Amino acid sequence: MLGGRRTGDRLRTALSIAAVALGVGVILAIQLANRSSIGSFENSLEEISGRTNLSITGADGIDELLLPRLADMLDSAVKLSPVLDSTAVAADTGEVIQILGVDLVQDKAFRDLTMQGGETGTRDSLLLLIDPQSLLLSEAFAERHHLHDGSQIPLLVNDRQDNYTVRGILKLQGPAKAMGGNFAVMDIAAAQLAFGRLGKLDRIDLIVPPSKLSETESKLSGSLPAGLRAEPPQSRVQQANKMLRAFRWNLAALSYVSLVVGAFLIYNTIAVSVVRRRAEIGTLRSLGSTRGQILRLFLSEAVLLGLAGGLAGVAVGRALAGLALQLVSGTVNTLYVAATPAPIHLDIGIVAEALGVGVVAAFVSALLPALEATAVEPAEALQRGAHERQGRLHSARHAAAGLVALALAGGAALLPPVGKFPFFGYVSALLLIVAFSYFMPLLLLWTMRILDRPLLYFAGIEGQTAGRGLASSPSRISVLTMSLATAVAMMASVAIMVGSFRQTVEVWASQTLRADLFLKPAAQRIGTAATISADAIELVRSTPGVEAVDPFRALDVIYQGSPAVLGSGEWSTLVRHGNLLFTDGRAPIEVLKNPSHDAVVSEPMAIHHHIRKGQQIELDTPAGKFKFNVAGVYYDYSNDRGTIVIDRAVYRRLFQDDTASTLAVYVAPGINAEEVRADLFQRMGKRGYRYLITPNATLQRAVLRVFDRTFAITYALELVAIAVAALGIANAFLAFIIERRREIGILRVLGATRGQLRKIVLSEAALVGLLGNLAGWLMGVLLSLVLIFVINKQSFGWTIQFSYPATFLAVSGAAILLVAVAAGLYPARVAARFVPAEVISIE
Amino acid sequence: MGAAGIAAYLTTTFAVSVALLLAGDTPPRTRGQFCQATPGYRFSFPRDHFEHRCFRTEWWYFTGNLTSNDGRRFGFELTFFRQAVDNPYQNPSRWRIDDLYLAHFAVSDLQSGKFFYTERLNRAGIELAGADHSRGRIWNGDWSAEIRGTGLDESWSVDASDGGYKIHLVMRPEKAPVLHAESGLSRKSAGAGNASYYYSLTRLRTSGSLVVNGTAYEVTGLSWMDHEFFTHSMAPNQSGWDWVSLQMDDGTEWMLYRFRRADGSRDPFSSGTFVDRNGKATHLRASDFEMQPLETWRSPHSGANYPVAWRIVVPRLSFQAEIRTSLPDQELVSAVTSGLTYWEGSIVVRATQHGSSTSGRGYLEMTGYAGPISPMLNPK
Repeated sequence: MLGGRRTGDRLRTALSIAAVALGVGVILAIQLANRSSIGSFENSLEEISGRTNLSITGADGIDELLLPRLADMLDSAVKLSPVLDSTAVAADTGEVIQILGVDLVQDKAFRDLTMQGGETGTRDSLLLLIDPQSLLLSEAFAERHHLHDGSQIPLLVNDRQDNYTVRGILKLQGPAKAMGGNFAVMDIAAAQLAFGRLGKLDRIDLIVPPSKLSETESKLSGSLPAGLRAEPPQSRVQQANKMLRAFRWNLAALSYVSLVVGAFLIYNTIAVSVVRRRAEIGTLRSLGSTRGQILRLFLSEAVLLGLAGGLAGVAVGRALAGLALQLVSGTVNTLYVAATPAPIHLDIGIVAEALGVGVVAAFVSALLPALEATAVEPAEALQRGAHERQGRLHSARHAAAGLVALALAGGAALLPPVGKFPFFGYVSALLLIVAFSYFMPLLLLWTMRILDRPLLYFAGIEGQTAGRGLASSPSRISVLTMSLATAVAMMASVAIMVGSFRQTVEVWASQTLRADLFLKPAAQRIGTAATISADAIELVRSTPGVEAVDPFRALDVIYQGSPAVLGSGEWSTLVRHGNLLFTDGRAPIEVLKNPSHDAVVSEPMAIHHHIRKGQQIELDTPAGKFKFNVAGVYYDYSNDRGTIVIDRAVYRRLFQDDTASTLAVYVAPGINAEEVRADLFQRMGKRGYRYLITPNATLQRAVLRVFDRTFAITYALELVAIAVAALGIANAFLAFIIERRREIGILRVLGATRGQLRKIVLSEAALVGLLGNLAGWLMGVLLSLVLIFVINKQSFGWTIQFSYPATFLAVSGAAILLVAVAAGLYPARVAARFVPAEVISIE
Repeated sequence: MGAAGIAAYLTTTFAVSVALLLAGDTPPRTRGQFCQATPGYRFSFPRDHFEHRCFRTEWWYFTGNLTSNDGRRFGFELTFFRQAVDNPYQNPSRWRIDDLYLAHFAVSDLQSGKFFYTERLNRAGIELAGADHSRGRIWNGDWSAEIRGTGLDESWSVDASDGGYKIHLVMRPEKAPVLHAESGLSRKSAGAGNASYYYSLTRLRTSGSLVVNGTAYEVTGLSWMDHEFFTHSMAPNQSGWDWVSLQMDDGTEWMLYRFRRADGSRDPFSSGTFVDRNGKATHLRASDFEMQPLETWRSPHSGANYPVAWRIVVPRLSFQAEIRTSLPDQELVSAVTSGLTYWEGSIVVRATQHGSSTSGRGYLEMTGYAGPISPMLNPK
């Protein structure tokens, strides 16, 4: 059945398969990209953990004196290993290198640190242990950069650059494979000195005999100091996954839109197929086939379509995955964790899943037309010339169903998220599409009624004929228009959402980023913990022309089981020079009045943890649990985990940490910031400090650049959905023309020229394009409201000010109209080729 | 004398002697300057049981022969080594390495003929290893020898475990520490300072428990403790040594060692000590005794040929003995320290002294048979 007998049929089948393929391909590509984006993080974690089965971690590290206490407390069969886990940046290439500091004398039980060429000489081994600027480098990195035993490598570590000596090359096994080979090991003593972490550890790794695991865990949970946790190493992957969950879910949800558009197409294909074969069905029925057999026949056709589309989709998905991964991992690296993507891996499970999605989508969309096929009576087989029996349109029923769906959509939008996932937001979006599907035939009829005269006036008799032709089969044409409208709506809604978001962020950045210069350590990347030393802060403060410095320290912490950021800055400086936008409209000076006991939280923090102004929150600190009064909630778009900000003096006292992550520098009035910047570079460079010093305007631009990069994948997904819609339009027009060949034949017999026929078909395409655009735009605005105020708010927790990107939507609307007309070109040619006698003789 | 040539071969940097040695205490080490063993040192216990970080190398050596309630015989070895590292770098980290601590633990199941050994390497780090007088403890991880009580009440609690093997022993010295050679100064080769400070606890009455391959035994027996510290000792032409400790049933003990030279000639720095029933020590020079190999055993692990049976003659004290072992394979092949391969095992001795026959048990140590001993500090 699939092939059909005519070129048109075959082409239609191919188009349907292509649409399913694109829909499935996009879903698969996003899934693969989502999985690989932090794949290296997962693999690296596995490699780096080695045989560790329990790790003790804390927000700002662990006092190393805990180690002997643990050794005394725990069973002697439990092995303990001190770990510093940090990153440095290769000064020459800017590559981030993960550096693990371990007790190299003892660590063999934990990790495989086999060196190239067996062992190094005694002298090298000794130097590796005692020279604080020594390291072992992964084979992969060493080969890439032609480094060998004894080579020097300049590294940016925190805010300094120093030369380190390669004392051995690690074979590409175990941890050396981590971070794609951007990996080095130092002795714990050297690492503590290099990273300014004397007395501290990032982790204590444990190897616990399996039989003693639960006993050890319970022993630890009762006795670890506040803020420390004992968890299996894999839980760090879970934390990263938790952090990425909202981002990934929404991306996955967005990737299904193409398939939804594709589903309209399959519905259309099958529906047309049913109409076309009424005679065949009638014959089969009169020969004794049951309704069930007919149903199975059409569903099998759909399933075959889905299967073929799914198979092609696997190929498409694999091909698109590279691009998707690039976009996804760009965002992940910018906003979440530093991780090079793992190679894309296509396993049988994921392929089966993609095929399943294709088949199920095809099955579901074919169900309605297939059921309709079972209604064909055997007697119809005898009526030659049976043509589409236009389903009578029950306008009132359609309108009522549409209104119900619309009301349900509104109701779903008001429901809270499930976990952190805006489940009902997506339900609401789907219901909106359902509502419009019901409204569409009515919309079509009304529009054509209204346009009947104008069409005659502007497009002549051909235009009017086109309009009437469309109005004569509202059900079929609605499906066609809906697939276009859905694509348009999706594009419009995402464009409105992203545009509004961008506008909001731009305003936010200009209002809150007030400092003239922003400093960060040269080795600081997202997900890395490079810090600014207290000495460097003093140096900046004492630079002429600097009026004030606000050192901001950001720590990744766990707040009630979820990743969050604990920030600290000088409230007094913030009040005098900086700004925060509080949700209740108060100025910082009214909110930041009580630094010793108060905290302020970002909007995502407040939303995810249901924190209100005036409430108390409790933080784990190295000095024990500490309660803060929440003085306010401020708008923040820098991360969706949520940030708690306390005063720097309180932070320093509780965490015994006087470093900073970034510095906001305010230049005295009348002083040129550019000159201060040059002076800072020179003064700090002389002392071996390496900083990135960004002027205000550059940072504002950088914020928007990051924003655009984040949404690049969203734009890409939209493009694919529109491509699917274009396929859908071509497909549907083709079906429509084939369907209407009788009318067209009659028109030919009645004397219409080929040119006139072409004009009629193109007018029809333009009308469908116009209608699809109109409905899509309407639906898009509604969807964007759901996206902005439900889905985004619930997933990420930020307030977006609605703004309408009029120019963009006008231009894209015109473009879509052109696509629709272009999609009508082929059917127009087909129509023009009809030989009237042949067409009529079928009747 | 203690095991393992390890450290002796390590001396690549030559230290300046700063030995203005005070009784019972050695000065802390200043960078690049190690103390040397020279005459005039006065031992003071229990202080001198613990570490002397001014010297480059130091070891504590517990060996013994034990018998279970049901008559099963075992040997054990628990050795702690400290090797100083010349570290010129500034680094205030607590993990800074100035000494490396190595330890060996071996159990010989003489009945079933099974030999088990394991080892560990640590830095001092944060209480990871050390030999601290104030804590009365010599330890490496959770292996330890801890002193309890003083004077007549003094005892040592010695503990080690690994997998299915474990010792938990209490040792009471029946004799005062025996200072070897010249008041504890044991010359190893020609030249001032090429010597060690060396004493032993030669008769430690031992009881406790021993776990062998998962099976626990209550045991009693005799142990021996050697403690030696030095900066320079052997000369390049000394290729290894054979050392033996004997604990005789008549209440006497013997310690004898001979250096082997690369050219096979006799080494004048071989030495020994006889301890009578009352603990009085007699120093034996190289010319006072003979040690002759009787049988050799070829190690399947290292290919080395070890003389596992010896005839010992000390004409001056009318002493003749034959030592043998029921378990030839008591060879330790170190994994963390490449090239450190030696034989250290339980032996039985049959002897005559002044015409009357006697017997006893002891430990035999042979080094340098599996090729030259390469440096210890070679963590893989």
